[in-house]
Amino acid sequence: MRVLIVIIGVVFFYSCNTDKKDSLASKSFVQAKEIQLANPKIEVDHVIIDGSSLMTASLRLDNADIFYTVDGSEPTQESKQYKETIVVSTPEKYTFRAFHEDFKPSETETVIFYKKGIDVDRLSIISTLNEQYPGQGTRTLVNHKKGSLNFRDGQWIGVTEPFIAEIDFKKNIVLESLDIGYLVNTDAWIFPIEDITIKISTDGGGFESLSVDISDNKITQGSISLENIHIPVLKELNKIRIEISNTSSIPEWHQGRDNPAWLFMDEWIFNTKNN
Amino acid sequence: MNRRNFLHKSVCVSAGMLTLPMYSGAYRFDTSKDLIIGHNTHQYKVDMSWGNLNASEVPVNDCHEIIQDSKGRIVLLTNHIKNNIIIYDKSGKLIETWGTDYPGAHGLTLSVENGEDFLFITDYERHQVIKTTIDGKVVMTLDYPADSGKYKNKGEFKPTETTVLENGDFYVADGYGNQFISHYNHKGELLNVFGGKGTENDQFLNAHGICLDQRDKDNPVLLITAREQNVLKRFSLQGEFLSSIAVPGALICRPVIHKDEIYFAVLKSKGSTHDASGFLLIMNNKNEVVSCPGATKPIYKNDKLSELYQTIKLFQHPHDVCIDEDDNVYVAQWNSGQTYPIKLTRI
Repeated sequence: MRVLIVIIGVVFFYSCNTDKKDSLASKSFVQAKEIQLANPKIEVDHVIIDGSSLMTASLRLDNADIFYTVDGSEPTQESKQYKETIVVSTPEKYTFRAFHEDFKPSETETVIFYKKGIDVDRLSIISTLNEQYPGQGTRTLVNHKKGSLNFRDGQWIGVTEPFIAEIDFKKNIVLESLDIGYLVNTDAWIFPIEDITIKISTDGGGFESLSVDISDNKITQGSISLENIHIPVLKELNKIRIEISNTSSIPEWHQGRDNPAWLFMDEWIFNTKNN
Repeated sequence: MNRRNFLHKSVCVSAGMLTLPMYSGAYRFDTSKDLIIGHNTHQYKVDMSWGNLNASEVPVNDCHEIIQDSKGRIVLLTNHIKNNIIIYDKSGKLIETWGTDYPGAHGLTLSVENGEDFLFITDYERHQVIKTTIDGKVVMTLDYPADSGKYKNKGEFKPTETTVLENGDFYVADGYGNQFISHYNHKGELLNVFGGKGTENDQFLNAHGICLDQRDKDNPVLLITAREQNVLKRFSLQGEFLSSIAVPGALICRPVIHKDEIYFAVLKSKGSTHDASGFLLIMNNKNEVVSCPGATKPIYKNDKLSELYQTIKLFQHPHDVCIDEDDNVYVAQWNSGQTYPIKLTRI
């Protein structure tokens, strides 16, 4: 019992030395631990790979570290640490996240690399292009170039009505899959694809419809992202007709509610075994 | 367990519980660390509670601009038409509100004339510039400069900012409209128009903010932001282009001169995947960036400023700053979820 009394005495003595001034001074100010890091800044040569591409990640803040994965999982501090420029030569999905001992970890930043698709000589746009955002015309969607987050960079076609185009491959091919790239920027009234219809022809005449599943894309106010829909096809064909609908009615939480949204697409990638 | 052991353990547990608060204090398990933002000579602690009001009584939407009047009060402009102007004391206590007629309230500039405070408000929805007394009486209303030949109709005129000279002349920046800078005398008579939309040196993409720079008393100039271009442009008072100062990555709103320095709210980081990516930017008397609270440390390589971008998610869309005599900064934010200003205390 005597030992216990001594311990209590010592603890009581030290507790009186607490720097009350510091703790009071801290009360009204934001604490570092309440604040989240911004996402790492990712810079990429190009995301359609025809050879290799260089990628860098940075967050120029002292003692911030960046970790990444290539399997789509959320990076932790046990993941691979980013230290130098990454040379990417195969299609992969890279996910980055920044960490710092004083702050909450950042959200993730993802970059998807695509294999270059087959060359498309002839794409006919059947619907009407919007005069404001025609991109580079009929080549925009098949020029092997992805757009940036800047929807005015010339790599995007923007429409407010359903977009319809037909591609004539001039010969029979086995199309394994199709990637359709689009942009989300809700502040600019740019919303995801609402519906896709694909029709294929093997003889250039009658068309057969393929079903396409579009997962419900949850978006929130202020969303900005480069998105992609991957559509497995695995069919032999020589013509394909693709009809894509924009979001016909903007959700209620947005200032443009009930109006049709903009749809911005940058690239259609046609994947065969040979590309 | 015998009775003696049971009593001994019970006493130990009780003593432990009783002394826990003292123990915690003694060994400081508290990991609190005040956030400090900014670089070099300009670093700050952040107070998010300053100026918070009952939103059902004194609401805000976008808080576009904020100034300090001659009495030292902090005057906030919001586009909420229940109370477009909210006046605080420096502690953040509400003093008064007024204004219900400014749905596009955007620019707020103080003009002191013969010892009396006046405000210049730009309203991009009304397509007008309005001059009021400090308590809200309208003394001048200016429509678009039809005589300039630069506008087909009033809809093309969406003024964002004004700046006032000592002789009463003032300039209006049409940052959301045709991007012209209009120069008026104190009566509101048009003297000159320059600028316009474009990428030439003397043109603008988003001529968002303007201020008079008389740090060099003998050579007063105009500072005008080309926000989309991430550039601050210097013009003579006659409207001749002088030079540009690039701030890569920073969508600077309006220049605010305090002592020998220029302060900016940066709406967002160019190219950020996260929209609410704003920060602040401070230039020294040589117009070099010395501090970027909430963003990357400014680095010059071969006299060229490296791209700036947000590093922590503190600010959302800072739109204007006001600096008091103690060098504390008050930050008004656009599209931030109806939040009140943030105060930064200089350390």
